Amino acid sequence: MSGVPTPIYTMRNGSKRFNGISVVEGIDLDVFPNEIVGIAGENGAGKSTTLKMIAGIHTPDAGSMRLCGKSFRPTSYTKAVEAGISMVFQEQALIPSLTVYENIFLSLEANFANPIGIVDRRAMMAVSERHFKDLGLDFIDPCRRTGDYAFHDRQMIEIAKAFVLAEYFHIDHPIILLDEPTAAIGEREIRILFDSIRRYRRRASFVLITHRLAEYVELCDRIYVFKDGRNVGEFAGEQISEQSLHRVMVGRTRDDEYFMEKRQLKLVGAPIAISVKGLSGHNVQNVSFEVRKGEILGIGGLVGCGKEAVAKAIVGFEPFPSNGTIEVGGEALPLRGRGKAAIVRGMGFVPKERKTEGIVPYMSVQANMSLASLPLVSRLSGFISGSRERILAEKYINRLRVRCKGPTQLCQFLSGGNQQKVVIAKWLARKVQVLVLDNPTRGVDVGAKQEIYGVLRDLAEEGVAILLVTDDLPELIGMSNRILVMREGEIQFVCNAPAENKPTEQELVQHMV
Amino acid sequence: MSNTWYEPQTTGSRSGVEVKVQIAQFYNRHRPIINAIGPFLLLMAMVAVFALINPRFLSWINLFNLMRQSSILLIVSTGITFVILMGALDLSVGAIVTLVAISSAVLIRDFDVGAVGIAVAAAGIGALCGLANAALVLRLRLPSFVATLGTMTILGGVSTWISGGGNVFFQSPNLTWIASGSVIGRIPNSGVLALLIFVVASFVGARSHFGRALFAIGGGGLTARLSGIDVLRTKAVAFVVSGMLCGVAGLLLVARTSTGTSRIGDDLLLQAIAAVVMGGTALSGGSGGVHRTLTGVLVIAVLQNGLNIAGVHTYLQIMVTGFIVVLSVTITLDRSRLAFIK
Repeated sequence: MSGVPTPIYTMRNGSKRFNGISVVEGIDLDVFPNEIVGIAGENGAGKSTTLKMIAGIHTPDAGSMRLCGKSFRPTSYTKAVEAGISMVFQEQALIPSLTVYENIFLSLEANFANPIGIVDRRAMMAVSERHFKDLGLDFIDPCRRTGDYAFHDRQMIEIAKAFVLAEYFHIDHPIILLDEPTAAIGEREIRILFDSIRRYRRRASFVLITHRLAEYVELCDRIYVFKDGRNVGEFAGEQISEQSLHRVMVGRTRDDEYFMEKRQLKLVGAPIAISVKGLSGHNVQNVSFEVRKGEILGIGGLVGCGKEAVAKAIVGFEPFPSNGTIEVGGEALPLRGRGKAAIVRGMGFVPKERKTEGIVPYMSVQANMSLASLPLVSRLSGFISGSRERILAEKYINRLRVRCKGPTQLCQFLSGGNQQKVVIAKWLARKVQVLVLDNPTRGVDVGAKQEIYGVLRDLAEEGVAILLVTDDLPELIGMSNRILVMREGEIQFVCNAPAENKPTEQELVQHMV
Repeated sequence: MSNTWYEPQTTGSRSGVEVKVQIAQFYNRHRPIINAIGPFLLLMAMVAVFALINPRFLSWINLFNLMRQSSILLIVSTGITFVILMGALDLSVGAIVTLVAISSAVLIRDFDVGAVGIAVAAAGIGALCGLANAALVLRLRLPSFVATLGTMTILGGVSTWISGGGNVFFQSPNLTWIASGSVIGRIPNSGVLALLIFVVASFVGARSHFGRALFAIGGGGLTARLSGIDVLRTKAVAFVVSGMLCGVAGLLLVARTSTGTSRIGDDLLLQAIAAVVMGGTALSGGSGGVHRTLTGVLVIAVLQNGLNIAGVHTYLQIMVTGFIVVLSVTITLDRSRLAFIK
């Protein structure tokens, strides 16, 4: 080895599009031996996509990769594993009903078979056991059912699997990709995981994605920062700090026209529409706030800070934090059957997962729009009037400018933005008094986004109380009259956001991390 | 040396991919029409072939006979369509038909129950079986496949027990008239009743709030729940309706022969599922419709009747039926929804 180390892995100009939309573009990335590399960025910055390109799960549309000095173009994850790259998946890739050693050698059993095809299980157990001992994981018994181990132990099994496979394919220095390994485990398990990674780095390189900036600072030797699918910064050693990462991650110029900030209402003494008191449970602690009629209240915070749980509690989307009271129009919502009660009291919910929670893809636009207000489109009680349903649908197709072939087109064939408009129309048809939205513009194109913002402004002017839970900082700042920032289940910061004096992204972000 | 090695594939294989994509796009764009017309064309082709082989196939006598034969399958298939539309399955339909047939026979033979009483009892027993299914699926949260597999077996045992293992003969002129007589011209009563049920059920499926809720649950259960639809109640009603219609079918079945036999209705399960799928209702739920089931029922009925008239050997008939079912489903099946079925 010479003085200047050469990277074990390089990506040059890596780009990937999905359905014609560029997700990552022109990514350059190096991984040196024994290095822990971080990829930081907001949601949708292209971190996971990049990791999946390295692991052969997505094939880059352009660009080149090299591994150990040779051109590397994996056509599948299996090919990447054979070349020495393993990924520890967010949703774990171990089969719970198999034993640990069976999982480790899954699909490689043939190599332990004698000529008549009988697998030498003892050899498989012995190899697994030796590796677990090497890695300091003696407490894991290769013969136990994988599902018997806790989530964080299974994570260690996946990392162990990476080492076993590397030896198996004669790789002396594997690269292990970790996609949000700490998202589902507690503080103690995180410590164990990090200690292990530090120990194993003598034998491997790691690439890490996490949603906690502090973890990058603690663990990584070098960090790439992504924004909107591009590489916008690289930090190494002393330069790494949460502040430095943030400055690069956020900080777009916000266009006040885009969010129609001039139309934001000045609310003095408007009546209270929703009042949340002492909401607790499901990783949420003691959250209290009020939303007034005509107000847009934004809740921001990192993924996992509990903001979605607050929205779920208000609309009764189980499971939700069940302690504390939520009053709508001065009356408390019941705990049982809250979902139905919330709708009856004039609430609407635009959920995060549009395709599974917002629309029924196999139903027409008009059927989706009338789904929450069937009695309104009925002439004969209990039966839908086709003409009334069509009239209702046409009204909202025009009002929200839904681009579709007509009220009978299946929702499945609409673009994301137009599907989202259908979800909003479903609630407008009920003339809701309160609208709760969870990331309403995720996966929505720029034009449709602005149209949705316009609808929200219209609703506010009509006196509808709006609760906007979002990961999108410019949207949070641009749309809200008032902003709550949550962190680890609690409200960390509250500020007014009048049109003439909006807080900056940096101001909010410092309360998020 | 170029560092872009994701060079385009050879033109040959690329155009192959493009053709595939084009076919898929064509299919996707015209899927509703293909699904709706496909089985109907198949039915017409079958009718034409059978009419050519034996002109007697299109005689009034045979057509009324066809109606009589298909009426029971139509009622059972109509009921199970409600369950399948919401993405569940009711495997107990055949067993319910058998149970109702045998218990009706016993009630008439041993307790001399009148025609009205027996009709109420048949529908009631069917509905109760449906309620039991609903309780297992909704209260114990069992998958409908497993729950109704259980009730199917249990009800089969109950039927054999009630019948004592043998045939139950009875005499009821009223019942025979309902099943085999005719009020309107020479059109068989059972056929009229089945069509009536089918028409009402089609309307309910297409236009009622209940029907819309079924589609919403089948196409997206979470969305339905978040839109304020009472998912539990809708599911329960669907199972009860399916059970009740099986009760009606069971009574018609036993009335035709005046004999309650164990396993008398068991074949109906697979025929009904085949009919629903051939009609174009996806087993994964959410697409299709009650009105479509008629085509599927007719395909099966025309096949059986036509092959009989054509003098095809019984064993060969079974094979041909299986083949046509596969062919029909191939035309109709909405492949974009297969991910849920496996």
